[in-house]
Amino acid sequence: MTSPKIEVDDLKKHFKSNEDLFTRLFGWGEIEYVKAVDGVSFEIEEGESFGLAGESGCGKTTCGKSLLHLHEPTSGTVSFDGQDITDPAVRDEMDFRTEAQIIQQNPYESINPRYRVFDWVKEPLDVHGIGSEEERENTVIETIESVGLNPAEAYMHEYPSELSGGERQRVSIARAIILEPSFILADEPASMLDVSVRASILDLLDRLQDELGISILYISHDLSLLKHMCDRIGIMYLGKLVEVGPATQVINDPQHPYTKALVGSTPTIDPDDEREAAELKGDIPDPVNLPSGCRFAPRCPEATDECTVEEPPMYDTGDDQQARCILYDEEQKQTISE
Amino acid sequence: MSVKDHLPANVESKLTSSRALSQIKDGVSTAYELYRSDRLGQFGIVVLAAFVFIAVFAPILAPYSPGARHRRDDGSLARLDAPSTDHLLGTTHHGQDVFSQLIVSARVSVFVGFLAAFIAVFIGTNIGLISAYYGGWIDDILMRIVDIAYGLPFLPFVIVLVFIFGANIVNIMLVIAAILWRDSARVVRSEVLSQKQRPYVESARAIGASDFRILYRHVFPNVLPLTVLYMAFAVAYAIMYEASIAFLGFGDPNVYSWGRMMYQAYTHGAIREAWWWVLPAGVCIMLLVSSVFFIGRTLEEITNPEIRH
Amino acid sequence: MLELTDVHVEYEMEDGGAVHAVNGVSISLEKNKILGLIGESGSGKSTLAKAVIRLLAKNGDVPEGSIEYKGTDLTELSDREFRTEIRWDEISMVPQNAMNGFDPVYTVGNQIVQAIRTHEDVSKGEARERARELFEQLGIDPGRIDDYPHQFSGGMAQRAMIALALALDPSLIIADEPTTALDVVIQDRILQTLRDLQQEIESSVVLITHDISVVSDICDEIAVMYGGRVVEHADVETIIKEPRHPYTLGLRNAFPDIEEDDQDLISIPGTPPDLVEPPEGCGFAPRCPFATDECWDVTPEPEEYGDGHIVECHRADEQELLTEEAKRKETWMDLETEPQQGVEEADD
Repeated sequence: MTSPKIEVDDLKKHFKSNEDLFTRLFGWGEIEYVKAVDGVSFEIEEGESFGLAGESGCGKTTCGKSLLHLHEPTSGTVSFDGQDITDPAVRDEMDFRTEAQIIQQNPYESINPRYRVFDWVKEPLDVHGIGSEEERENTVIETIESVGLNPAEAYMHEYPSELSGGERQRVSIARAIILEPSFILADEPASMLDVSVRASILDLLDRLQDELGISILYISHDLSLLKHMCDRIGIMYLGKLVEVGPATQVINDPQHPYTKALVGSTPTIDPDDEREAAELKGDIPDPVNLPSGCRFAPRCPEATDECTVEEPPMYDTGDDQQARCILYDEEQKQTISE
Repeated sequence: MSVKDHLPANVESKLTSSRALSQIKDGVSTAYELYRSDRLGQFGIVVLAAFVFIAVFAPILAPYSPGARHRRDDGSLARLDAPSTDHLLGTTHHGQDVFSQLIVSARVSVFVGFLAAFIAVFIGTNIGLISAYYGGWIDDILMRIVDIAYGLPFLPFVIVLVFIFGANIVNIMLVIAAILWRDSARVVRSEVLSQKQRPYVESARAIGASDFRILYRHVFPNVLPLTVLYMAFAVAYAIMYEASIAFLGFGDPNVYSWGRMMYQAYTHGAIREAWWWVLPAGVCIMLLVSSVFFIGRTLEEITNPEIRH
Repeated sequence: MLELTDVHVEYEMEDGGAVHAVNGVSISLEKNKILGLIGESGSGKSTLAKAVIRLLAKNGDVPEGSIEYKGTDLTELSDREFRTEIRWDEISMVPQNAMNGFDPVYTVGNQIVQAIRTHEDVSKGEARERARELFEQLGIDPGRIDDYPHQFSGGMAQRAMIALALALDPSLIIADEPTTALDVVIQDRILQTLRDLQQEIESSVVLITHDISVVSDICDEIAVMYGGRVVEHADVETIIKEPRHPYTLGLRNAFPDIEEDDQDLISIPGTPPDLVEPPEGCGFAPRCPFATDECWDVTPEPEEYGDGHIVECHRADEQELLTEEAKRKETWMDLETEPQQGVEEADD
């Protein structure tokens, strides 16, 4: 049994929402916390692509960035190759930074406008002092061409402002893979791109993952995209995972009422297809004052009084799929059927 | 390496040339484009270039030594002589050549203006960068120091410091820088606050770049245009401050400057009768300061393209 | 009801040149229909809509073509006539970003009341009552009518914007990417509401989006735009199931569908055409795997292929072949490697 590439255990990230000068100096007033990520656990296997989905504000991006240690988690652990990266005594910062990389959402802002393509792609090699100057140049040229920017010389002296969105995203990918990492966080890698370009970027990521055996965490609000790209998917709602399972299974046969609503609301291309969208009540609650019990209960079409009592744990619903819903509690099922 | 064989020879040499250099080239060419279409900017550059030229070659250009006392044909001291072919701008109360003094004084204005401004912007930019990037108590402390600097009354501050450390040109320059740094510190800080939220900073952190690298290789190039702009304004203010200090009599007594020329004209009660002693110095200050402001105005259009239309 | 004939829209540039954003569009829309206008950024879809409601940027102009609405040519009207008689009364618009659509210093209700009272002679109380009704119809608590825009969430602001657009019972509503910035659950709710209300007040809607699945969900007809032209226009069924234009085929392949289990996404190589100096011939030819010499030289004219299915393509009659070929990834891949001028098809 091999250990997973990444193991997230009860990860929490709370942001202070109202700290002002007086609170900081004298401790006046009560500090409120936004519970962006509030106890998330999952694993990503070697070479696997895992998708985190959910609506804006559900904490999926914060969760992803905590995995890269771009946020200091409030509590919980993230193990990378068996090492707890949240523990500064264990983490080898520079080593970790060569292993885990990020591809950001907005290709129009994620590249420093003062860098040429060549320097931007080369910087990771400079930072980690890998190879001689000449070796670095060769690696950069090879990498630029491997992401489909052919020939490299046509692109490497350009500033990002001279490139199209798709080309910029390829540059970001080149920078992310130049250190040959074993894990990449792809934060909405295609959401800002046109449809015809989007497919080619996703294709490129797919190909690189195959060739380099990278584990990828995709973060997206687009279930169709995640279904296409990922082996497994986790659905987040208000800072917690509500459902995890194999991608196709979660989308085709969702278990948690929230996942059902999400899938039902996603428009389909087939005009004959009449999906019955589950009617969700109200809007997403304020992540500062969470409802008691199951946090989805106030909007859930299937909620009972039971739901507001206690936060449900993850229940196995079969075939590697898990849902955080009391409907799948065996004892509960029995009492209902009795 | 196969890939490299395909590259034309010049690409390789381009690769090794540093990024900073190419950036400067780009910046210069944008600036050049703009100045070409901006009359005031052109005027500013020409005037500034002329003053820099005069400052550099002052000893050659000045017809006489600025301190030399000239005598009339009858042997009397050429006190307050009107402009003539011998003395283009007449003479002072002590029979010194005003034109020569004017030329030699350009050195002080240009020197103090640029150096004080550079020191001020250097300090201000670094404080702004560090304050905004690290935030927290570092930001609190540094910004309170800036607030204090804003609270300093200029003249009493100068008088006290000059009194304590002595009225020499280096001290005066430092005093001016000590007042001027606060503007660039505040402006740079607010720009860095916005820059550090940009995804490229996160990208730099993700590859393991050090704080130093992020600050000076990533954020700083993006605030550089703003820094240059504030440098231009700082030069203008530094020139005016130096002139004011000298005019009020707190200047370096061993150095000729435009402010000091006016101060001497004033103390000898010659302001009304000897216009040639006062006016040229005043015009020079005005020309130099406004030329720097005009340049700054054009720079502002480069850093802030929205105001072009 | 709305009939565009050979409409051109140009944006003048600083250097004296012009961007030909819309390049000869002829399209008609009947009463009580929802038309989906799809296309990628730069295809001219938003520009076309803005030309209809006369909200083009200052440097934009309609130099050619007519926009007939209920028999009147809108391009003939003066700005004043347009403002008082057409905009909002007859044609209203839901912008992409509702937050920017509202003035932050007035309450949302106040702005709706003002819009109603500028066009109709009703008392403040009546206008307010209508605003409350609209809020209720759109599923917003009428009690929030006196809130300021910033107190609304994105989804609520977007619904309030639709309320504002519906306030005067217009016959045509132009919705420019009304749900692009929103999450699916809210998007779904808003689209359903829009569809329900459209049927209730019997108006027509032009829905602009880049998302094929959104249009196929709620539209009656779809027009596909590319490079400033409508390259294909038909009812939803036809566009989705039997498209004839290679660009439509390509878009369909590039779009991940939540229904499919094992989909091979195929992107369209190349970049959108230069709109400053549009090249001769079909605008899509450089990216089209089926382009012939004719495509490079002659701009295809719109032709009808049965029951309002209008296509601008020289090879639209070879539907079966194109559909088959377009499904193969290699068809599109080949284009990336080969030089593009005048690629000949083997079976010609």
